[in-house]
Amino acid sequence: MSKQKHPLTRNQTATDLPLQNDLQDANPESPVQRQQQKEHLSRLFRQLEQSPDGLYLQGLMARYRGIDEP
Amino acid sequence: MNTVKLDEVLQKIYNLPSLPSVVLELLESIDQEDIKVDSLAKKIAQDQALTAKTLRLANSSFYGMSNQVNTIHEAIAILGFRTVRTLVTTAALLDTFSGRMHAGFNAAPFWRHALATAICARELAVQLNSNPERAYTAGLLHDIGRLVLVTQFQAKYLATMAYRDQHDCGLLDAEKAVLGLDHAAIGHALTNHWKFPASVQLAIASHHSTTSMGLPTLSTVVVAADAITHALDLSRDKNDLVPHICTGLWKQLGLEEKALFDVFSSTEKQFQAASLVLTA
Repeated sequence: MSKQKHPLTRNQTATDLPLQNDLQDANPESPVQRQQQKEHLSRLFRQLEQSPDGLYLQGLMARYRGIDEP
Repeated sequence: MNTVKLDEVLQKIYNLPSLPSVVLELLESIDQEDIKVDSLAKKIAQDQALTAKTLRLANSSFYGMSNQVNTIHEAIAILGFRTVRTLVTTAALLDTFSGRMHAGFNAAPFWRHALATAICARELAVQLNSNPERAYTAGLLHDIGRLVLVTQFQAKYLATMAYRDQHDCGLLDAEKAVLGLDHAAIGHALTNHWKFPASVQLAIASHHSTTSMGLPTLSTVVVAADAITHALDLSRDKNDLVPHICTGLWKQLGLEEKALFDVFSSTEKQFQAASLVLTA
């Protein structure tokens, strides 16, 4: 897998973001990559944002990815 | 109207080609202690097309064998009967539906998700000291009802996908809104017709259950594996959404956070290698 960077632009929406798989070997210390991971996770969980049932798994994934909890 | 009645679905299911009888025997043997391996191996070997496809999967890079296996007996000797049983089932399912897809359906994310869910279910089952191979099979098959819709109700399923895109909802909600029934119920009907083990049928029927009450371990494992693999984004489907999963289910699984992280990590690693099988 390439180590290609995926810089965010001002006009980029969540659906333009790279897929999670493309981000897995990214530098976890990079703030940009961490932000992308967070936004990507939010996109995957967008149907469950108001549901307490989605929060547990979303929090789990955030900790697993090493990013802040939603 | 795009609604589909269960009777129509059943009629289409009855018209689908049957799985090879040896595959049904293999699936029945999942719950059996005393398995007649030699007899089953001979039956598999008698189906040349199925054998060829199984050996192609066995020889894919996922299994990392230094020498090619050329017969079912060799595959069993090297990979073990349980692995070969899973390979034969996978080969038969790929064959049953592969020629019937329509242009509007992207099969790759479907099979990627099925395979990822199978691997994750197996990992969860290992953590829970449950039957890992049965979990793998149920995970692999959990969305099989979707293939019935895609192949047998093509125009209506295209309308379902259009609804999903328009409303940015999950496919389950789109199916209910457009068709009036969903792939979990259809998957149950299909696997019941094919006489799959009852535990696998139930896991398929209940994989979108919104309650964990009364669910047996296998069903709980498949619900969790489905949600986890969506959350890990292994299908690489840009429209993907994590489905609803009730908090009680995690309590029922009873796994510590570290154990779950091990499952996530192991699923991702195995999936990267296993997904090559799909293109073998």
